Amino acid sequence: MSTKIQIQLQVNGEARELLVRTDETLLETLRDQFQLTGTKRGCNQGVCGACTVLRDGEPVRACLSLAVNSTDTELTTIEGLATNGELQPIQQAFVAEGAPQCGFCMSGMVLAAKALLDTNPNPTIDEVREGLSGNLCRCTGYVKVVDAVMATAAGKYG
Amino acid sequence: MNAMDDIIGSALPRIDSNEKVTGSAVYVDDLYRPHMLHAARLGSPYAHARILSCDVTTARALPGVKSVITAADLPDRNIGVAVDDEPILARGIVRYVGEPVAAVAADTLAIAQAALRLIEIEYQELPAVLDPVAALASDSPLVHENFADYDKRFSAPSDGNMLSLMEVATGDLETGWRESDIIIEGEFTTPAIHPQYIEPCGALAEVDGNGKVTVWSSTQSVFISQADVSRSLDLPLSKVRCIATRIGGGFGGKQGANEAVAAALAIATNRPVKLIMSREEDMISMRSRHAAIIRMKTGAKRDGTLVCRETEVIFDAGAYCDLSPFVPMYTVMMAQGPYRIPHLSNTARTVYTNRLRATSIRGFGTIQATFAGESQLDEIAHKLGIDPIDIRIKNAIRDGDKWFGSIPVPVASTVPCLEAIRNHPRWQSRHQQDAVKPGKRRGFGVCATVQRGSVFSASAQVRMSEDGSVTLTTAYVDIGSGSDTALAQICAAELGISIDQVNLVTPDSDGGVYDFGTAADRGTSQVGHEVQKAALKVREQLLEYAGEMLECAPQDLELRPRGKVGIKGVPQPELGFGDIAARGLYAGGGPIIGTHSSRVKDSPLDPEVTRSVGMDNVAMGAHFEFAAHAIEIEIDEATGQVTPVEGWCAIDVGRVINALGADGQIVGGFVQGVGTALLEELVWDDGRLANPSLMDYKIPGILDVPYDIHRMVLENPEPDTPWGARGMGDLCINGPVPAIANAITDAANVRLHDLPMTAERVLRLLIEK
Repeated sequence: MSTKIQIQLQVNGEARELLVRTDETLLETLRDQFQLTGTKRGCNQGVCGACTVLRDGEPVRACLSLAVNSTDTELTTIEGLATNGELQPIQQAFVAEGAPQCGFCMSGMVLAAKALLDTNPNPTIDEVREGLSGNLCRCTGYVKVVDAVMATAAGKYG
Repeated sequence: MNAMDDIIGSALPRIDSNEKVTGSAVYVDDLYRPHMLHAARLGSPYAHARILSCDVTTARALPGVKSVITAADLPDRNIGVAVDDEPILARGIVRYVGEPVAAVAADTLAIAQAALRLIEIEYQELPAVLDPVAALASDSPLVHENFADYDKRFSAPSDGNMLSLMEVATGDLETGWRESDIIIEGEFTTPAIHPQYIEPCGALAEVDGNGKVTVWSSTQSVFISQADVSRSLDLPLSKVRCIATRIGGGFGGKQGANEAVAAALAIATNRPVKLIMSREEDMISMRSRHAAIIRMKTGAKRDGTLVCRETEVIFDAGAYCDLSPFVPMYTVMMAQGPYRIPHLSNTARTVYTNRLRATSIRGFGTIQATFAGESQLDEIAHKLGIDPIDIRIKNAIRDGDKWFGSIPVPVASTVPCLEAIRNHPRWQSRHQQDAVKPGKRRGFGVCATVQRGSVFSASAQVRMSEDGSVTLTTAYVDIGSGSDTALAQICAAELGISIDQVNLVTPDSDGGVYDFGTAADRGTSQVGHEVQKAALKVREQLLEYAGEMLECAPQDLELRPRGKVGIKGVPQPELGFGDIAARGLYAGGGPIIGTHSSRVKDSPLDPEVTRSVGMDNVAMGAHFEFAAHAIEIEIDEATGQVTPVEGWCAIDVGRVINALGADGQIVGGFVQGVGTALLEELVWDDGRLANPSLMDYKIPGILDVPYDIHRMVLENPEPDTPWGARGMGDLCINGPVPAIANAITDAANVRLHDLPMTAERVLRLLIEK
């Protein structure tokens, strides 16, 4: 069994200190230590993007990130987007445009979309497609996901 | 009811949307129970071997390990939907690489996995059966030596490694060939593919103080899962409860998810046990679509009239039966495509091999034959100089035609679907679009498809509470299709209440209703039918009780929007549903509960018209479904890479229940079909799966598919379903595959006969030419 070291980080605005194994992935920390199960394990190999979280605003794959490398960072998981039950515009858009189907990829997809709009508030359809190219979805065919992002950029929600 | 059914067809967001964009939807791996253990399974390294010995003592001694089980610890019982051919842990023989041989429950997953490496098993390798054609030879080794001892629950003949033989013949082939001016013959192959739901399979089991097992599972059918646990562990069904969590996609691949192994470990440890597949384990050991070899021969007259078709399909069933025999039933039914063909002979064999089991993946036995049939129709059109849409319209079956065996087809929408594509402005202007870059070629392909939906049994219960809201129970599992929302809409529309007033019960084998499971486009049409009938009974009780309260006959009363009952033609008095239901509870005739259950109607083949083998005693489906697809593709001449550029989908859904849901199925099916056409294949290195990861098995990402996918939804209602709605999930995936094959021919004058149509395969044909 590997040794543990202490890290500190902000998770959805809350300061946390904890011990993590040196080989512990951020995905394990989020799901098993914090019970933030909105972050999904789809492939555990960095391909599907279901475990995407925002670290200092940048999308990262939690399954490929070691928890120790997230010390002194700010993490946002899907649970951290809505405040007091009020959905963020990107979440409202996903709902109203009918983007979720089975929903398993959606946590990662919503966060990837948020990161995209945070850096490029008025993307073209091609830029949206490029920005979401790291997230696999098996149900939707992606069209309504793109529509949701474009509608958010157009100010239709929120 | 006109003022009250405006919920039907609306673009309501799905009722589980909010939880899915906030991370609060609970999938099985998100469940944690007190004192829970984690489980892992050890897979066979051999495709076919005898287990000579198995030593688990070292593994059991590892600190943190709570239980190690093998077949020796379990009752001598098998599971299987169509044949009881499969032990939950291999007993004496392993039949595919990855077949679970032992399972461990431990304090952590890491300890469980470490314990697997301490299990010592001695195998004696046996000759592996890896080629389904060779497997049919009389001297082939047998995958199941003692098949005759199994409990078999379908009528199709079995022989040696042949699990099932199904045949139909109508008309006379010899006459057909004689009358044909042109005959096209070819062999097509389609590979095994994995459904690649993004959520891997998993289950969590626990046992209560009375020995009752509860499993939470990522299953498409709580009753198949319940039966798996019951049969394999020799427990009465009354001692097993299965609950479906939110399901992260299924596509036919989750008809059970190792619940019995988790349950066996929970019984052995008397603690909750969670068993979740990794992506690799899931790909190696869960389920695939059948690999198929399709030999097809089609004859037509000079004017393009189809005369004759002979189809022979061999399906690789893998090592265990699962739902295999139901798959060729659809192949045999649908091989003619949506066309009038007087002379037909369709044969399908499923064959055991030492590979991963295959089952009813989305497209359900139709996708393979459709690839061949729609390819050959284009070949005929090309040779005769007929437009591909014209030849399809010319031969299309029409409303009121008979399918073979004299099965009525009340609504046949091939022609309107094809015309919808032809009339689409982007199709009309398709040859005036962007200039093609040097080194690229563009082409267009079309196809028309038919599918059949609804099987076995379904039921529903609607109970009205004293505040006028209702609780709807069906046990049908929403695997992402949106069925929960559609069923809630059907219930709400029948009662004239809002969807917020419908409480949908999680699928639960203890829920008081039965459902076969999510498959075969049966949600909206078949389960929806039960919901509608159950809601109707609630209406009747409401009117009866209200009649007592208002002192008038029920037939003089009417339901009014927003949950009210009043006297026809009289605005007041009105009674709220809640008042009526409450009176039932405390002063009237009892709780208001409507239930309905039925099995889908049989449609037997008329033996005077169509001869058949193995087609009785199987569910034949109830509704024919029609679609047409078209696609523009671009081929890179240097690499052979095919890129879809633009798509057209015309689907007759009968009646839209939820506009967002229907649209999502159409686009999602199209994109999954593109994956089947161009990308996906389970690649085997002898018996071992060579690409068990999403890195090496590519599914369509957003950049692999077009954004411009035009959707045309047609609504020609079915006579006997809720509001005329038909299923569509299976239907939507079949078309893109032959449409792409036909587009490649249009672009480069080469014909692909094998899926996936990879750059390598296309380039080889381009070079040969």
